[in-house]
Amino acid sequence: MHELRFILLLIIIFIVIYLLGISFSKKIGKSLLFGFIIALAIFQIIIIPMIFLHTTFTFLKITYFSIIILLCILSLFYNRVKIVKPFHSIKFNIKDLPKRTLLIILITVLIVFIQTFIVYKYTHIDEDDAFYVATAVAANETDSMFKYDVYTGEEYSKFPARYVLSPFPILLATLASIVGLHVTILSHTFLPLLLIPLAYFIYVLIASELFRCDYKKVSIFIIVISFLNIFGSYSVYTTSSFLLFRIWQGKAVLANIIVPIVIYLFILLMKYKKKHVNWLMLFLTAFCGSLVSSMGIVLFPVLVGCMGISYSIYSKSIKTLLMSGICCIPCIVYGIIEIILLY
Amino acid sequence: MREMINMVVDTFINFNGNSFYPILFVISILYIIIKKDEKFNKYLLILPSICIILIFLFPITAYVLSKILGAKVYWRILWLIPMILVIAYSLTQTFYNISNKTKKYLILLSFIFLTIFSNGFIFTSDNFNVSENIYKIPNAAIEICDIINEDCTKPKILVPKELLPYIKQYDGKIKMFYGRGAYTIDAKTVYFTMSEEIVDISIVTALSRNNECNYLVFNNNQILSDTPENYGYAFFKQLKNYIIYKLI
Repeated sequence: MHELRFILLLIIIFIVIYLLGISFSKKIGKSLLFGFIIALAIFQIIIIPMIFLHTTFTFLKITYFSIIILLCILSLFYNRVKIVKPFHSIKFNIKDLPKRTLLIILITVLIVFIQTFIVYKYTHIDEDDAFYVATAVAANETDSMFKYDVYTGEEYSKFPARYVLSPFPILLATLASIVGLHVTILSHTFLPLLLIPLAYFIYVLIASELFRCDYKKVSIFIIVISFLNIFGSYSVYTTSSFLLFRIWQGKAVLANIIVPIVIYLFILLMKYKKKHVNWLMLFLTAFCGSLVSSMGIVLFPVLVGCMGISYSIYSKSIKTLLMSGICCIPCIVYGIIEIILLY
Repeated sequence: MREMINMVVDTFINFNGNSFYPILFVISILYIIIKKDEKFNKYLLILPSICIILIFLFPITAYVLSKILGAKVYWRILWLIPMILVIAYSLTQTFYNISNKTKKYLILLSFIFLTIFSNGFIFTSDNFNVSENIYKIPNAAIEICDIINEDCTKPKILVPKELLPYIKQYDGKIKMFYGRGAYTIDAKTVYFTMSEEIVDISIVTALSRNNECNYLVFNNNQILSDTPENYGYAFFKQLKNYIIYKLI
């Protein structure tokens, strides 16, 4: 029963993010990624004022779902001709592949599946869930956001400043409520089935650009990444540890999904002439970075700054550095708000 | 300045443990730098990595960022270095660019050796256990919440340390005397008392009653100085590993 609910949630997520993203790309992969960025960015933009206005969780859900549904309907209307087109090329491309390449691709998929399955089937205990998952549960059950201390259940005397600007647990609560899943079940059992493949999917997109869609090389690349992750728990601090131990936590999403997205967007910016969409996506990713973790508010500008400097030297243009700076504005604004809250 | 340098070095050592990944990373960087046809990737992967490493190491930026992030989590800067991406890219390119099969497989074996002997295999029984239920929290936490909620509409409970992280992951409405953090003097006192070899029931029950805690949960292995029934709490339920008392 829970599995059916999760499959339904996956279908809804897939359709929504595709519809959101198809306006910005003709390819399936990019459309899904762009739609994911847009969906998270919209959530972050609307939830922060609502948290400060002490609205109910229900009001947030109604508002968010209304915006998303409206955007999906608009996308369906404006993109009605090109929505299905990208899917026609998949069958064509698969038929063209040599058997050896197909075999390597299958091995790649299998290795990612095995990692995902183990995390789905078995339990890794992490005490940070006492805050993050409990926050999501509290949102669902008390119809409020950051109103009650998740350790005691008493009302907060003052806002938990470090966490209110990164309400990723509330997003999990929102997703769980779509299909009536308990958010702890969603987080611990089912989210790895979505987020671990998503992390590898972003590496597939990166590799497709670096290796010019040579599927064999992309597959080998992913196998090596998998190997490095599977043996990457030499300390509890590594991205691999966070990916395979606790991917449902916002900081794990930051390390394993948001950071690679930023790298991917800079690949697109540096490689292709049409830049407006990619700059827009980078700007929206700042909201995503802030949503998933308070670390994102600081780490996103550091990463974008370093990549912006590099891009600026590569393109011999100061404009790219300025654009990178503009993309960090959401993080700067959230940073200022956090300082005000703390002091 | 010296403190900062020590912090940076300690952070780096703690993050990388005894692994060979930094060595693989340096080799991969050198590969990209040496290769003539890798201009794009020099700017995409190498230059930003060097920038981030410099920011991490430089005492002034380290000081600023450790103040902002918190010194205990300063290591998260290292997440920004695309270490596994660079290693994977270099290895894939090397594998395809080298025509000599012996060299090719020697490099591959070296990589496998260095990775496996980094002592970081994730899927061990230390890291993963068989799930007790679909929530992946102890069954006891679920059972305690369900039993108490059947009895009372607004319970406030005290549980042993091992259950603290799980109660609120199952039930968002239930109140607890304290959770992972004990904020008040009463909560801290009870937390330490509950951690003692022999639990002083007079202190636990008195402070629990003062804080309107109507259910007390003890682990069967905990040694209590007396029975809570002498202090206004009646026996309520015996579970497999826990016993629950209820305020009369």
